[in-house]
Amino acid sequence: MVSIKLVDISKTFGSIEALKNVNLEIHDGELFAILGPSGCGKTTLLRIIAGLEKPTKGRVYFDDIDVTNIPAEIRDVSMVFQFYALYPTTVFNNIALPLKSKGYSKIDIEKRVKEIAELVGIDKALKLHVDKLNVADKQKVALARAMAKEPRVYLFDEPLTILDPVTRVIMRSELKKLQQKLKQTIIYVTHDQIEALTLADRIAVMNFGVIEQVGTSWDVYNLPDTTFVGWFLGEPGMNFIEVAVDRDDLSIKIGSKKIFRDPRVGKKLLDLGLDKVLLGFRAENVVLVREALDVNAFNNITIDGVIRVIEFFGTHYVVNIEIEGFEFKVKLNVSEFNKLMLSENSKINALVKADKVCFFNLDNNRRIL
Amino acid sequence: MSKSEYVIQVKNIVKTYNGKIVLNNISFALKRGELLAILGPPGSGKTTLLKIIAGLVKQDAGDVIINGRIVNDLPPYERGVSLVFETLALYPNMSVYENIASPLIAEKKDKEYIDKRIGEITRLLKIEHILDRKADKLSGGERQRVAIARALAKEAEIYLLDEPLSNLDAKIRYALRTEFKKLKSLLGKTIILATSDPSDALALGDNVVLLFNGAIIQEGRPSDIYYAPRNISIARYLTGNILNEVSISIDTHGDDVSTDIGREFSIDPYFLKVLREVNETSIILTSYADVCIIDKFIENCSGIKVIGEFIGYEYRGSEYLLYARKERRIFRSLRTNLPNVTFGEKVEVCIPHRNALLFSSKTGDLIR
Amino acid sequence: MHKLLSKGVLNKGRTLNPWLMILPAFLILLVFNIFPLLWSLGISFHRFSVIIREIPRYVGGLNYINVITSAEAWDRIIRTGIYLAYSLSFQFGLGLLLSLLLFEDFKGKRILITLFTIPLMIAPVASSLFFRYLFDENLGPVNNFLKHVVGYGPLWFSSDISPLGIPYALFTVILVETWIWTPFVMFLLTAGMSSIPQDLIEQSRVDSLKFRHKFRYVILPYIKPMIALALIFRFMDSLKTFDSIYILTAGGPGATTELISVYIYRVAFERWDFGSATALSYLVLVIVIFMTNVFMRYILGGERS
Repeated sequence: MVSIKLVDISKTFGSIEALKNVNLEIHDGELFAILGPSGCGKTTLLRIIAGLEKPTKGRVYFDDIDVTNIPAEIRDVSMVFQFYALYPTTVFNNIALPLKSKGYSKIDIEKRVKEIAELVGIDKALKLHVDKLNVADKQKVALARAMAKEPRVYLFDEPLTILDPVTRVIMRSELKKLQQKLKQTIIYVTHDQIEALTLADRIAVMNFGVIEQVGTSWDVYNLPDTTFVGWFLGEPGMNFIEVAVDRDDLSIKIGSKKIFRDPRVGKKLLDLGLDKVLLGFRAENVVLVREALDVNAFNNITIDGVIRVIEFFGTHYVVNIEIEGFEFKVKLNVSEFNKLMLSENSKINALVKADKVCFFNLDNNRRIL
Repeated sequence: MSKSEYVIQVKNIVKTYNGKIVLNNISFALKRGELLAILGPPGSGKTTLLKIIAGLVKQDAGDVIINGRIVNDLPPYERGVSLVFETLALYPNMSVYENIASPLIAEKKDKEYIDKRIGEITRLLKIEHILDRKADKLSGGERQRVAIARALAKEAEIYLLDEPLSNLDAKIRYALRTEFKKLKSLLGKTIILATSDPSDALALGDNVVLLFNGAIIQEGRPSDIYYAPRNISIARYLTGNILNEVSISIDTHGDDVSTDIGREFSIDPYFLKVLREVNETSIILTSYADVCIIDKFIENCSGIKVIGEFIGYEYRGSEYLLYARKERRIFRSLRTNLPNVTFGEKVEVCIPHRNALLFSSKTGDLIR
Repeated sequence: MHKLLSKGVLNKGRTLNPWLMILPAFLILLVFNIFPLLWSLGISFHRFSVIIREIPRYVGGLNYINVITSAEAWDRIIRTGIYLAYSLSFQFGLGLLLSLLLFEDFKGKRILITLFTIPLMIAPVASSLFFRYLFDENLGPVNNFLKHVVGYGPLWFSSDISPLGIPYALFTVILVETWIWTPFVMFLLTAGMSSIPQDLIEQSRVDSLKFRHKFRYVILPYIKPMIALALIFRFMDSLKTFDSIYILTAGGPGATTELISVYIYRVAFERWDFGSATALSYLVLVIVIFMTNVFMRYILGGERS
């Protein structure tokens, strides 16, 4: 029910810079995920939006109104914590307390609590003490409490991490359904990339207090703005190989080996003044073949290397291939792998479609193409 | 060179603590340059077994044979083993270099040798840039690398590693696993590695020994164990979050087949024949998520087909893991695109007979 | 030889050692604690006085009957009850208020905490002497000040009835006790509050809970065990209040501030009736054990239901 704008937010704790000049716009009614490894500053950012923490520098806007100095008590937000933070009393009281503070009448509270409890599926437990509930139900109570008071924005701090995988999937679906119905603004902090990719309309990927990229699931996975985003998302993360542009025929080389003949790419890079860049591609976008490659094909990057390590993961294999001292990973499903009959320290040819690769600047690790 | 083709043989090891059997008749053998992963849940006796091989704990019965020589009565330092513990006991005040060098200095190796050896190992483990740093200033991943480097720098017949990759965040663990495997093949070391993470054992081991409650319940190549787990509990342990299960009972005449996913299911005639041939009235059928299919409509299903409810999915960037529910069973299917269904809608679930495993309900043992 | 060492000698040593280790402590305990306790229990069933050098004479439960039927003893017990009620409510009321104050973050919090430890560091005898001077009816600065401002200074150590309905002398004792012990209660409650999960505090902020809800559902559940502990400590300790009374009023005027501990002292060392004094002491012990149980059950048990 609100759009949020963060302008030049910085936060320091003593000498530690938790957030460095963060700018972010979260649209009205979107499910926005903030994803990053532990210690990247994502929780601090959420707490600044909640008003639990004041930024050292920068402003927070709710619908273009500056709320930077407004404390959490009157920002009218709902928060759901990782460990649910329930009040040690009954389920009913937990959901009702914020409503009492908001000045709802007794009859309204009764009605609203029942309504929400039914929606979340804990209406049978209203009279129970929260200690008697299992983990999933506790988190449902926290969710119901957050929803009951109809806040301007929901702030979620890894609320599903402690649930078992199946319950987590079900809760995620419920959350997504609910959000599509109620059109609420939700900010969702998580370190779990699957959670972010599955749930979010848009994702901000953070690292060391800096936002590396903001985009849809598809964008951040397939077109990472920085090498960090490419590396962090996916298992395994994106492959990066240092390549050079040949000034004579504009081909792309790994060491002395030419891997890509299309002169347009080489020219573009040279025009940008870069003759050395990082080539990035995802492990599942590589095709391995035994026969010799047509090195003149313009639409493929072709690499002939040596298999160094083969790892079995049950549903798939990951093959590590070495070329000129660089290494990259290839993800193969079991049937592909069995067809190829690969073995360690044998030669193999790898193909990557030209539209599946990215190029990154070596100096600042940002994507160029 | 050696009298035996095996670098190490462990024969009929038994160990009890206060009357409780910790290790029960453990035997295995390992060739030079192989990596054996001992996989088992915490408390299954992995660490005790490593300590017995290292000579830190004495077995009640059985032999440890290294290079054809029984070493039961030899102290740890004469056995030619090198051990890394899970706790990564680095010397906090020493630099990385000094930490790695300490076992070599103890062996009175000369400076030149030490430098060369450390250079080699640290380059492979990508820690050559932190040699001067103090051990207590390292990150988790760096500590792990240094501990592994220290163990591998020492010349030994066998390297024993206890949970070398635990306590690391997923990304670093993933990278370190590959480096570790490469290191092993480059250096040709013989390694025994204990782990409680199935994916470590599957990805790293040339062979895997499954240890449950102090007994070996299965051993073999990773893919062999993965595709033919001897017991349903092994299947669940190895593949818990992508394993689909259905209980099926077949009456004695083989006419009526019923399942725990309701009465409305279709079954392919060939598969029905297979089920009848199995001389068991109550079986559990399992199928991994990468062969199971979940979709709005499935035309041809050579196996069991049932209509379930679509409850959600996980988007993993390169693939989707779909979840469907029927009665109390949850089905999962890995695929590269998302079918056009919404949460709560009906979907068809197909468990093909390809790669399906049948276990006995009673004993849990693999039938076929 | 190795086996012999590991199994035979060392194991035997292991079973013997623990007893040897605690023996000195046990002996000290026996001589200075357990023996006097049992001896005094014995005395409570005897007629015994040190000064007349008589041989203790067994009188059965006579001492207990005497004490229970004595109007004087009952008067002192009721007096003590009134004292406890006022003293403990002041200490807990103020202690809770201060700990709630310290629960918030503000500048100068650390200095304030340091200041609060002062009453606990000074010996009760010293602080009592200090207050004796402070409240002195003629020379004390308190009355000096009051006379200037209000034109009237109460007689702090008299049996005049104060606005609280108790004699001024008793009120002054309660005042001094409150001054000394409020920080103790405050620190225990603060410790209880520091165990409230940060998440829960922040949740209550985001939910903008009213103070009474916040107190009841966030703070109280976490300080309950500490309240019980503080109550038990303060109850037992208050029953033994002696030094401050001795300095401030010596039990007077009359028997106005003669609480149970002072009374027992009088019976023992002024009337030399050791039997009755010990009997009374044991009765107090029974009360303490009973009340401790009540506090524990009431406060800790309430949480479970």
